[in-house]
Amino acid sequence: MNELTPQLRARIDAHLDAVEQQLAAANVPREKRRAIVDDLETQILDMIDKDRPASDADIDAIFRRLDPPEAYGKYSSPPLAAPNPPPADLSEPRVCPDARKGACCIALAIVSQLAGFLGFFVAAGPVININSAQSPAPPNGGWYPEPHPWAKLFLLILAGAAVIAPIAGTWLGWIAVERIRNSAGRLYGLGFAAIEALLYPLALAWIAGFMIWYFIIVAYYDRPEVPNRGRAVCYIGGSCTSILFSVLLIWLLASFTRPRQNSSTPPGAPPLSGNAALL
Amino acid sequence: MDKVWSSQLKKGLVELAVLAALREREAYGYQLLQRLARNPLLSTTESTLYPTLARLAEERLVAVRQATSPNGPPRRYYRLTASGQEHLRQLSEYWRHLSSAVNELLE
Repeated sequence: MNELTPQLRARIDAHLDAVEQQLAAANVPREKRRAIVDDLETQILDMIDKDRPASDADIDAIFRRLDPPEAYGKYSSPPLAAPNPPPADLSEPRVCPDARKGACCIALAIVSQLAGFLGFFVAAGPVININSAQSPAPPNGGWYPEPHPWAKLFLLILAGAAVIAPIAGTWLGWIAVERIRNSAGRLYGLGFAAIEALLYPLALAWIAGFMIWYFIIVAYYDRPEVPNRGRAVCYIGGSCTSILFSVLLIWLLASFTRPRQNSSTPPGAPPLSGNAALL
Repeated sequence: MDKVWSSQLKKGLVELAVLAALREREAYGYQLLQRLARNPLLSTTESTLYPTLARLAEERLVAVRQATSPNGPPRRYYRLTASGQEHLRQLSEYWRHLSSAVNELLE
């Protein structure tokens, strides 16, 4: 290793200090300043001829080949950087495919739940009729007629769709919201996606909110029939709890789908970076 | 004027050039500067390169390791991370789209 005289070392340090000052003036964080200066120091020491003792003239020659410290002043850290390069997605803005799939799932969920609900009464119609006062007593000593096997299969399929479709639709809704918010305008359908993401969770939240208060009130009065005052408390408490749950759900959706740092580009596009900062 | 224009254009491509230069093997700052300087069209200066490297490291597109140097302070070796490789792939794809679009206009 070529030992530098203290004077030469001081000159190099002065140059490095000047660079660091320029970077500091450009609001570059300390850690990055150190990294840049360390790289520059390595370069300067590498440029020094190892075969003979370095002189002032050598250092002058090296400094002439280097950018002046002022050249680092144009550098700014990403938060201060100029706008990012254009996204790689050159396609026209379009509806988010996940939002479309989610909408199909939610539609299927609603249809299957309604159909299942109606189908249940059709299948159970004889039972209801038998129970009503106008109908004759059930045949065979009280056994009600079984629904047709195809009707049972149909109801089973509807029940499966009624459970799976809302989960899938909600999941796709959350994904769609996240992708749309990160797409820098290349994808749209945020309203749709938000409805998909929140429709069933909000419904559950409201049911849960009222159920909690119903059980609290029933437990308080120790009987299923509660007085008007208890009902009022149940409605008010249920509403407040449900609103609280709803706000929490919306906040969760907003937080989990928050646009990523440096990523106003769509999925598939290069993450944005402060390349333009160098311009 | 021409020089300013080409310099601006090149600076916009520094990130792509740096990532591409690190694709095969790791390098420390000065080594990378020399690697880029092999092609005069890609040659850049340290005041552009080192801030770019610092930013890429901050964004975890490159990983940094320190290794002792015979000439003085430890060298900072940069290598592409998995996300850096993905970023390079996306930038390359974008660059191909862009250059072919410009070429179409020029033809």
